[in-house]
Amino acid sequence: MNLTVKKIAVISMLTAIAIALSIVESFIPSIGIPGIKLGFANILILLAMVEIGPIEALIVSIIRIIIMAIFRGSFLGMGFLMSITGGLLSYTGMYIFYKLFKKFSIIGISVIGSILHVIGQILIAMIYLGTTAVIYYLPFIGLSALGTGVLVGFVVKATQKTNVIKHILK
Amino acid sequence: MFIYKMKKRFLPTLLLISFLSSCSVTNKLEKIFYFFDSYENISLSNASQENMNDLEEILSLYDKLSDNYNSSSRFENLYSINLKKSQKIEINKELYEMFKNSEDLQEISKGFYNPLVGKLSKLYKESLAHNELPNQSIVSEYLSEIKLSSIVLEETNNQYFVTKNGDAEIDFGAIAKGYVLDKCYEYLRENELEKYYIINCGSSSIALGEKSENQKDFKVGLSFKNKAYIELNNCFVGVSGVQEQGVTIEGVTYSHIINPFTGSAINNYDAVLVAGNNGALCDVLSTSFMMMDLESIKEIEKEQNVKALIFDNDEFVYINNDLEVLYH
Amino acid sequence: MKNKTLRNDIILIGSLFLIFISIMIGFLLTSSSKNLIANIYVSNNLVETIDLSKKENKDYKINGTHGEVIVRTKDGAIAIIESTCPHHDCINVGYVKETNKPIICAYNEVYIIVLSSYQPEDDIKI
Repeated sequence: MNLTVKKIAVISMLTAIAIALSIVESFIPSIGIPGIKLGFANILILLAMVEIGPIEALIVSIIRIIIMAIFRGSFLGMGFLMSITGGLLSYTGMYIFYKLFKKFSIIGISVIGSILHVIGQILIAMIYLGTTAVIYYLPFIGLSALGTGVLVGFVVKATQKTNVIKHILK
Repeated sequence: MFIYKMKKRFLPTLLLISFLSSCSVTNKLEKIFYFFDSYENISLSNASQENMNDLEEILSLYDKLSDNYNSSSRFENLYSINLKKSQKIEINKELYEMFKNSEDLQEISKGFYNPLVGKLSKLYKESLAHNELPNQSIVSEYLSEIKLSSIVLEETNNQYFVTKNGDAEIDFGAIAKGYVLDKCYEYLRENELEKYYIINCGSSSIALGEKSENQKDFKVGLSFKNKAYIELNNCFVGVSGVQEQGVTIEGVTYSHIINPFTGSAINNYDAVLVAGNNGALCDVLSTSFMMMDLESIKEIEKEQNVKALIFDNDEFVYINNDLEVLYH
Repeated sequence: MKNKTLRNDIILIGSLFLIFISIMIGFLLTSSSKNLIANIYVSNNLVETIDLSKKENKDYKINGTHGEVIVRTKDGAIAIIESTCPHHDCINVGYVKETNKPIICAYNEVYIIVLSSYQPEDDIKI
């Protein structure tokens, strides 16, 4: 990866926006399982992946998760574990379907990322709390993740069209 | 593309299946048998198929021993003994002990249980099946036979003998189910299975342990009173006189419970339930009490440490203080 | 190429939608509201079992890992009414009166599961 100053600047900008979105999102109450969020920050991660590169997208994701955990005050707690698992699972899924199996459009990839994110979160919730009862909320959270994923996809697509990032990086 | 769809479905489906399968974990074993002309339902906890087979053998053994309609090729049973008058017959230990128990129970029930009612029982059964009353002179004849008959037991050098004197016939119908419950319970105790179990012998004799860790009592429904039930654990229960067995002729209900003193098939009550610590005892008393007055019943309750419940004309005539009838 | 991915997208979204809806229906169909008991767990340990069918209106003080959580039963339903957790997601769930739906306070590691102890009327009939 070509680590230019421009790239660092763009990555930092995207990360900052991701964090800001996450903070705003945290005020929306979760359904049933505390810590499960809609996942709008995915806009920036996916954007980074398609406009810059996969590694850069991963950096954005991880830094966002760590900073949010520190911000929440429960670093290494259940919230952090949920975030990191969801985040990594989501990233892996998006990467696979973006680079390897190119069967979906940006919207589809976004949905995959969104769903995998909540699945990872719910899995950790089940393990951490030691009960499978948590799965009751899967359909509700899943449907909202579905909607969020579609929305995120459209936003990323629209942003792609403006070629803003490519412009900055030139 | 199908593979991608499967990948997406796999995880949620897996989660759903694991959730659903974790919902019920029991190691209950349940089986139904047919002996004593009725169904036995056995429910055990933490038991093996072998245990069930062993219990089946016990049921089968005592069914054959107490059978007074068919002979057995393996040993002497009531049928073969009834055929041989005034002969000393060698019997096996199990049958001998059953005779001994029968003797004790006859005394405890103040004679209202009498194993020699065989002929009377059969007579009534056949007549009532045709909605008829048996010929009174024959009834009298059989009654005097009972008075003139006897059962003599003998034990020498680990050999067991029984002699039936007189023309009356032996019938263990009033104790057989309760007795086999005692034998089953012995087996369960020997195999440490007596905590959570229930054995239902033809819905007239039951043995029960505890229902589960969270719930000790079983809800025992009373078929003669709608929605009524009592809560019991760790005991034996005998019930007699449930409606189905009765035949009504010209407004009078006759049952299969024959009074060995009067030869009558008319009982004092519609139904009697007896709960206690011994199966044969509860079985016998539930039948005997049907022919006794309340005072005698209460007397025997105290003597034998059993609890009775008497039902007649759609109301509970008597409920032991330690029993409580609840309603759904 | 664009149409192919669009078609795949629609299939993906459609199937996910159907899966979630069916799971939801599944939970709704298998939930019961008879003879309920509520189990309250703190850090995976069962600390309290409440028989909801008794319909007692009572408050229970549960000691979670980060503070106290107050659980209230009312008319056969159960809810967390007070908690030291920052977001109060658990309180927002409100009263639960059926099985399948847990109330979770992750901050205090407290969760409540409602189970049905529904049994057939009689265990045996004689």
